Amino acid sequence: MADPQSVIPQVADEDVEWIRGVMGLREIDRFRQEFLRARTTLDVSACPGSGKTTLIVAKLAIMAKNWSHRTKGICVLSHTNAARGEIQRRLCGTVVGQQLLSYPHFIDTIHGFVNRFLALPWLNSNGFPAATVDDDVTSTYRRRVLGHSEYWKVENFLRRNHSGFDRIRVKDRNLDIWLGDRPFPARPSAETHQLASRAVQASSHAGYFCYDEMFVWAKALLEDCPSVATLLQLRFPLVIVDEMQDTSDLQVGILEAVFPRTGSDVSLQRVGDPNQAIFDGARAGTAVPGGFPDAPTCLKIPNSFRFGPAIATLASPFAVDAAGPDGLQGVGPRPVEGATDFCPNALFIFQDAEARGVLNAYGHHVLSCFGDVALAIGDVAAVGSVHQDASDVTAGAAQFPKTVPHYWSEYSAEVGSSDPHPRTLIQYVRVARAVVRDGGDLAPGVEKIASGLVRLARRAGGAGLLGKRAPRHRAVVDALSRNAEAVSAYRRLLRAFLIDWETLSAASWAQRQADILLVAAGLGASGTASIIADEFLGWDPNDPSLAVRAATSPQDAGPNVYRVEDGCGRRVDIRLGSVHSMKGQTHLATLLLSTYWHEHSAKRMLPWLLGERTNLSGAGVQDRARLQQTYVAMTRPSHLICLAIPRTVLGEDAALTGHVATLKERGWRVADVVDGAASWYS
Amino acid sequence: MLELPLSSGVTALVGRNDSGKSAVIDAIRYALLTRDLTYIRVQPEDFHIDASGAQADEIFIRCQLSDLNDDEKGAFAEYLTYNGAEISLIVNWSARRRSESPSARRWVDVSVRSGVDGTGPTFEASVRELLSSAYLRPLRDAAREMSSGRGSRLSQILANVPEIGQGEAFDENVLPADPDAVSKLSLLGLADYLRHSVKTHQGVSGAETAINTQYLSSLFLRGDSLQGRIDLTEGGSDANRLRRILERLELGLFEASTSSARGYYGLGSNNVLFMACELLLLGREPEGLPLLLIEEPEAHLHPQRQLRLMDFLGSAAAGKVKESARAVQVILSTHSPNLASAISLKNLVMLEGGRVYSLAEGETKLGAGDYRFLERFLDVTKANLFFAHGVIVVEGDAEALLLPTLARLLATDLTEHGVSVVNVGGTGLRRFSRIFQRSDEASPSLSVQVACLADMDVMPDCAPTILGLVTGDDDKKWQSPKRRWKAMRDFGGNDKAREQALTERRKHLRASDGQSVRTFVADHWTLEYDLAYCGLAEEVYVAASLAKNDAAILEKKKTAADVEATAKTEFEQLAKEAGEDRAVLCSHIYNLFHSGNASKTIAAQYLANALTSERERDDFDSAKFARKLPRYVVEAIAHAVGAALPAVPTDGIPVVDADG
Repeated sequence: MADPQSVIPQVADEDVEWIRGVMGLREIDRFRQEFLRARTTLDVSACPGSGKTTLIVAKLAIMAKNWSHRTKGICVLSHTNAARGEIQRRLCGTVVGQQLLSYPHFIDTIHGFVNRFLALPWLNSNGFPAATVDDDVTSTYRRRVLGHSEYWKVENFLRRNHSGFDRIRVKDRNLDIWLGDRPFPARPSAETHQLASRAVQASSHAGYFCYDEMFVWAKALLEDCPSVATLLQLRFPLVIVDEMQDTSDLQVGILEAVFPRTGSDVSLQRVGDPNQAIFDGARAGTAVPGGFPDAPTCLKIPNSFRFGPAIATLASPFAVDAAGPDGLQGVGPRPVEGATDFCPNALFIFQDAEARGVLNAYGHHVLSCFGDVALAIGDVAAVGSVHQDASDVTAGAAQFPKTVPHYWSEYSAEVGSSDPHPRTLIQYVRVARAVVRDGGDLAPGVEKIASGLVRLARRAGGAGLLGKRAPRHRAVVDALSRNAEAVSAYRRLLRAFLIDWETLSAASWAQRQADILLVAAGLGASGTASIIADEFLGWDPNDPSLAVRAATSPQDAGPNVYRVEDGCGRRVDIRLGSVHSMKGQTHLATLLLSTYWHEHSAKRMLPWLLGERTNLSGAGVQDRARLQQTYVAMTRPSHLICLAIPRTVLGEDAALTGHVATLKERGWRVADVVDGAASWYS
Repeated sequence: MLELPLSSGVTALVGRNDSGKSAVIDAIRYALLTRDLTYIRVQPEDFHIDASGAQADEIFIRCQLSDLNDDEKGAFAEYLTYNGAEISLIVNWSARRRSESPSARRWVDVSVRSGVDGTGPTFEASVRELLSSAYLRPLRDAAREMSSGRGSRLSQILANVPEIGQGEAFDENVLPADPDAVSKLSLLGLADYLRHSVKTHQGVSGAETAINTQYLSSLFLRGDSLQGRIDLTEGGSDANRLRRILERLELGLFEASTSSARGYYGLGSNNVLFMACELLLLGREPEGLPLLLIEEPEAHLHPQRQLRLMDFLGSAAAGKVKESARAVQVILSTHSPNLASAISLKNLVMLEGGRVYSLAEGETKLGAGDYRFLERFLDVTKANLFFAHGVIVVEGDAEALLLPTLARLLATDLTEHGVSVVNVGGTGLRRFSRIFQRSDEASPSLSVQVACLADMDVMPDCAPTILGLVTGDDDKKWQSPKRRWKAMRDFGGNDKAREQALTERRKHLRASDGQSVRTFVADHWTLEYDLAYCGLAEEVYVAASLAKNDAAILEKKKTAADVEATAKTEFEQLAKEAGEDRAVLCSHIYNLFHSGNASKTIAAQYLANALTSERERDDFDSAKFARKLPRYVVEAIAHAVGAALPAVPTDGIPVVDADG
């Protein structure tokens, strides 16, 4: 086998200088240079705000520039298409940018990799039709297989078992079924089990699959043809996994089977931050799978461009895995007009039952720290680990404040969801319009509407001819090419929604139904009645694009935005959400709200806050997740971090005095919140 | 649907004109593309028109590439098809007609997808480039392909030679000190060096200064800062500059002994050069599909060079060419018996009637021994059988000489019917005919009509004595185990038993008949005997006598006319002696070949001449003549031609079924 070292180009000083110029980067320090130059297997633990994705893109650009192989490439895997997006944004128009995004390289999600190289080839080779991979479409298909009464028989049974029909999954190549990650709660001979199996078999043979089921077929290929791993190792001598901390056991299992860390010629570079592993679900609180980071080979990038030393020092103890030998370092922030680099990081103590005043106090503090220019550019946020509705817990209860809405009752976890995946066709239209409005380019909006129509057709058993080909618009036009009526209906829809900018209302939506049905039928959907009855086509007053927009331009007071005014014409909008939803974001100022999960988070975190503990030492099992949540929240802001702590957590009298003194010593300004205003300890 | 399994190494597509050789090559070109980057545009006539005149709406081509090495599998990982342990790459090319008129925009939809039935991902352009094959079109103008110019094939080939970019760059500040330093420069470096030298050349720089100081300065207004500069037209990216340098190169032939070019060489020599070039590139490239498609490699080459070329292609296909890292697969189409005979039989694919017939082992009724035998004996004189409409396989020169003449006398021209007479000498009759028999009886068989002409080799009982093989009916030699000849009495004591045994023998000789192959067995003994027996006794006797005296005639010791006259007298005498017994008469005639040392071949020549002049006679009647011929000869000709013979009245030839 070829030595990957001979395939992976060396990085020279000129290359580093070159990319610095191309991407407009600041000086690249030794930690980052070491990563840029690394050609062997290693793990990189990169602190928040270290510019990880940018660094990966820089490395890819250098590699691509010096890449000489036409049939071997670089494989970059992540959970999101962040790296791909970053390449498109920062290297668009450059030759290397184009090269990176095409053969022989592969930059995509882990799911994308598993589908393209393992699952789809196996399905294709074993006589399955072209696959449609989509949870929603597949569940709908399975539902239609059974018909009304049989479907409800299964659904009701599963609901009694605290689950649902749409959580049924193929578990192995024999098409045995599971319910999410547990066995189906009835014997195989039971009627419900049989019905569910029938639905799954029918959908599988028609080529409909849920996302996670693709791992089943990937494993099947690895079993049938173990040499496929060798082939992929030959194809990708360099593999970079981004956001390694968020990989699931399933994903790590496949990754290790295809690109083992030892015993193969592949250079596997895993990049991530173990301290930010806060994906919820079954794994909350456990270590990152795959033994990431592997201490001996781990390169740590401990200095953040996001914030200055003050925030770094305050956040550092909460790292599960020390960010570096000297803890987390802050070498930022970027200067912002109307903001000083030394904001007084504040700790708000509130009477447990009076959580409502905290946001006001925080807002006023923010207004006193930043000028209007800074507030116009920057994002001000308040986050809590728990944000689901808990209206059964009221002020005065022991668990109060349990969740974000306890700080502001109008907060809704539903709207706050960062998932912009539209649930109805009208939402596709809205998202399309939002995209066109924000970007000024029509094409992505057209794509969205086309996707919505394809999905509608799929739900009604159509669009089979379309395959998985992107772009959607082209595919729709092709599919309708012999049906002039449907084509003009399709064009009328695009015109009404994206050019004439028709006002969306229940009435106008109803008027568009005829055209929509024409297109759906043209795409092969059958049964007009069932399409009309489909909730996907129904009118839906919710506008998800508002949430999308709120995330990109915080100036608009939308849902889950709390506005504080100072009475003199100045105001600040505070965006609320879960810690999870804010991952990866940078704020001007962040307030971490104490919430309750088995215990008040502030109470459990107090020893770390007081400097009595650092990292994992003395941490309980559940504290691991709390530490990671706290660390993520505290490393969001560039300028100002604030905490909200219930009074009882700090104790009474002498204990309280002592704690306040310690906290001040550690760099916090401390205030009591009284009637929505801060009363500062001198 | 046409399916064609190919083996590694060289595959030759053979067949007549319009048999579809080019269609097969075109299909591969469409599906895999070619390296000369010719834009392939689907033409209206590419869509099949069936017998009813209706034109198809779709074209579908599938190429399955197997036996990939691990690097190749890795390179195409996302496109592979896994069938147990067997991993292959399937390219599905399909074109769907969207409108009648090719002038419409996107009048045809072409998609190229991987996987079984094309359900895998669409091939990216760069991947298709990797799959593209080298293609040498028929009637190519090799000299032009090798000459310089924009986008010349040579520049494309050179651009792909890995070492082409090697060497040092030119640095204006550090001029090469000596020839050694110059030789270290890369091509671009050399060009830069030249450019630098041109710029600093006295004449050039002088002219430049003159333009600037004496003319431009007096034409421009004060403050204008334009300056003229004389320079070679260069520039653009390094890749572009290199391309332009390469485009200026041309490959020519020169006389090795004097190293001087002597004008233009012929098409053939340039052709060989061109092929060598393409093979060089294919063999050296580290990646991509090493597939070479050649239409009519024999173009412009004389036979010996054709054979050399086949040898070379064979060794390139086996990866044995020096400087070449890997084996190249070659698919060629040819009309040349020379090439066809030089290629191993199992690598031949016959095209006929819109079908393909691979001659690979297992596909035909040929056994392993047959392949070895035919490899030795299927030479250029026999290789035209691959291109024939019908074939008559004969066991001797006499038959080969006589049959075309006999056919002509039956008003049937073998050449006109595309029938080849293949003379396999004493052995291998069956082996040759098995080429045309498919192992799978259920699959369509070749429509080439193959007639094997076999001797019966059973003498009449009087013959051994006449020929002097025995002294009489009681000679001990009848019982000798060494006896090689057979006579009627060997087949039984009475007529009935004998007839049965002779039928058995015929059956045995026809045992491997089937599909389009039929064996036609002489009624009695050999062609000469049977011709004489049937109605040409005198003609055969005269011809044999002429053959016996051939040397004397050539040396002018005798005249042909004298010999002929003597022979006629002798024949009358013999006929009188024999009386009614034709077996005795004909055995005596045959004895001329046996004891009289008359050459059968020369006799055949004389007989052919005599019969031809017979035909010239005004009262010649083909139908009458047909009755004088043994029926197995007439039948064989009819079978090979694939039709009833015009001159033969149907009642004249009793219909004999295959079992006799």
